[in-house]
Amino acid sequence: MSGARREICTVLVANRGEIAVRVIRACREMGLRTVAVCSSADRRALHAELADVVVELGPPEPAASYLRGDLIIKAALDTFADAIHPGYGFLAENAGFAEACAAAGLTFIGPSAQVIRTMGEKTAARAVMEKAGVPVVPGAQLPQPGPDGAFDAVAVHKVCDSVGYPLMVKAAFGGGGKGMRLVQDRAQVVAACEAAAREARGAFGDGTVYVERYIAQPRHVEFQVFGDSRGGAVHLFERECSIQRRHQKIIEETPSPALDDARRRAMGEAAVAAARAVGYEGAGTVEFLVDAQGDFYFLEMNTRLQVEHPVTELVTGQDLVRAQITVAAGGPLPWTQEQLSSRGHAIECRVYAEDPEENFMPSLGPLLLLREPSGPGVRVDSGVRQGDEVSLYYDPMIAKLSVHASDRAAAIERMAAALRDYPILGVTTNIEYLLTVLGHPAFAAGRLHTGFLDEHLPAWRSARGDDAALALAAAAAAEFGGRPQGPGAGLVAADPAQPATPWERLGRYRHPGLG
Amino acid sequence: MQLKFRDTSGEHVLEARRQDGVTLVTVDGARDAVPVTAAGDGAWLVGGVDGTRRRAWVVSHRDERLVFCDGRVHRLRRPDPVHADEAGGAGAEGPDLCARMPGKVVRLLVAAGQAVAAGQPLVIMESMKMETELAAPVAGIVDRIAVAEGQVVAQGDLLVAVGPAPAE
Repeated sequence: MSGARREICTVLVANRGEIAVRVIRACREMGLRTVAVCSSADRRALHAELADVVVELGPPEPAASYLRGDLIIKAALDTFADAIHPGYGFLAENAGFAEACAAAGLTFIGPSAQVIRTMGEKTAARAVMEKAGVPVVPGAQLPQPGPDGAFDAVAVHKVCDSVGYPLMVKAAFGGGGKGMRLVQDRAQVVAACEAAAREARGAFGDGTVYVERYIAQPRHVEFQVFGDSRGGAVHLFERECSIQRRHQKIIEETPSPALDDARRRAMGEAAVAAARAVGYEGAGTVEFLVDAQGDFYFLEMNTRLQVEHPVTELVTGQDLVRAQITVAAGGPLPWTQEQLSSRGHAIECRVYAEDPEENFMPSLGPLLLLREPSGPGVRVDSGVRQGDEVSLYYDPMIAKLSVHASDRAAAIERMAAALRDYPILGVTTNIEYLLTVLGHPAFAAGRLHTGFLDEHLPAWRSARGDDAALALAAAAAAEFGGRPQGPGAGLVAADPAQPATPWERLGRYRHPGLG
Repeated sequence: MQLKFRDTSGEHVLEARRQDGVTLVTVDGARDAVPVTAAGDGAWLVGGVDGTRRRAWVVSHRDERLVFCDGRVHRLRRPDPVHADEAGGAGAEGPDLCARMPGKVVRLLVAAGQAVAAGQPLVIMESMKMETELAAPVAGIVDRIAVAEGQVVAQGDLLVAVGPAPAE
């Protein structure tokens, strides 16, 4: 912890899309010069347009552009940048990149390479947290099996009884569900351990397995933490991110409907202890699983700004990107814990170009029509505009729509109204799907868990038949014309192969598709 | 004007007429027409039977019309003219007969005011050195002949407008 001032005048933003736009805007407000980087596909992207300087890195593939740390550092040096903001994704949690920045004399806006590395290794992170007194999911190592693969039943029972049932058997060096077994009771545990060990040996070359208590229908509740180079650490309350599809969060909110003040205080203190345990600098997130009884367990720590940071900004009234830059420049945290408070309720929905009726396949193509909702308490973080393209190279997120209202019920209503007022045409989006989630009685009741979508919306279909007549009437009227002349009038003709103007559609009806 | 759209529930017949700046659209022969007016920023105000209005947005993309209304997106397709050909009809969706490809009007087989039956040949066209007979998509009265014999037309140009037959 040096606490030394590192002057920041120019920030290179090593990212694209909405988060690059978000960071560039914060820099602008602070009077900092900004450098954008882009791939050849993003030359005309919003983030590339907003920055003071833009450097093209290479072809569209991330591996040839946004993941090229060497090119990004060279771009920073060439443009006299003194700091690099990595955003999220891409190189944000790459310890090697953070190290390379430091070696080049650049300030990496984030924690140290050492912290990124430790938190990136799940078992190391778990050990650090246990030592700091942060609760982790109860678990234990198993004794090694004999040469024939058979476990000593007495020893296994002794270990597993102490963990409690139901429990999970997991491969120590595994991932992706292989070498994993859910065990409901004592009678099955020895056979399950043997099967998991066999599977782990086959898949990972190491049959070491351990057991962990199984947490049924957990909530995902995370705490925003912030540390500075002077040993300061605070939390900015929680975000509940239980609405996930294949481990991908789609709706996040704060406060969590599951926490009372006492629990919130205990978890906040644990999160700050976790940040202190590693000497955390900058913005980070401590993720917990919360079980049905309200007990919480450390899941992992994300050493970056989170996608869902806007909900925290809405209820606390603070600017997390500005604080990141202040802290990276060696400054103190802008707030003490006592100065931070949370007001009202905020929800974020991730609006994706994907087809919920086709297994959430990304929907690629041009954004032919895009109108962003607005109004009191409505915030849109987006990196695209009408006319831009959703391409196969990058995440198909169109925008993060966030709302802030006095309480949860009002926030849900505000979000639903904003989604209904968010026309996006050209690509298929998840807007109607999000509306279905928001309108579900279990969501309104706050009964959330990470399996919510699988439980309540297993085979979702659009209810578009409900207003088919309205849609048909609107399409017929558009075809017929009848719009007074002026910008944006008429039927928007958007066939790239036939750059027909809307005026061609006015007047007497002609056979469409042929004109 | 009459036109057809196809959505997931099947084919729909729409009848649109203009009245005092409002487009009144009859959907599948429903008793009440839906009033539609152009609103600001490219939106359309679509009236419900109960008098409430909702905003809708429409874009044209290839052979589809995409409509956004209250968070839902509708994909409407014009019935494919190529398929109409195969079925032996001409431009099967509207009562208006348009050129399916650039060419020359060889002969007009009807006159304005004449009653025609569905499938009755109206025009002989020549395109790419081949003559094609274009037939009436529906029964009705010939409203207007929009072209003259020998005239060269572009794809999609109106040839013959057919209005509904007078009620019995």
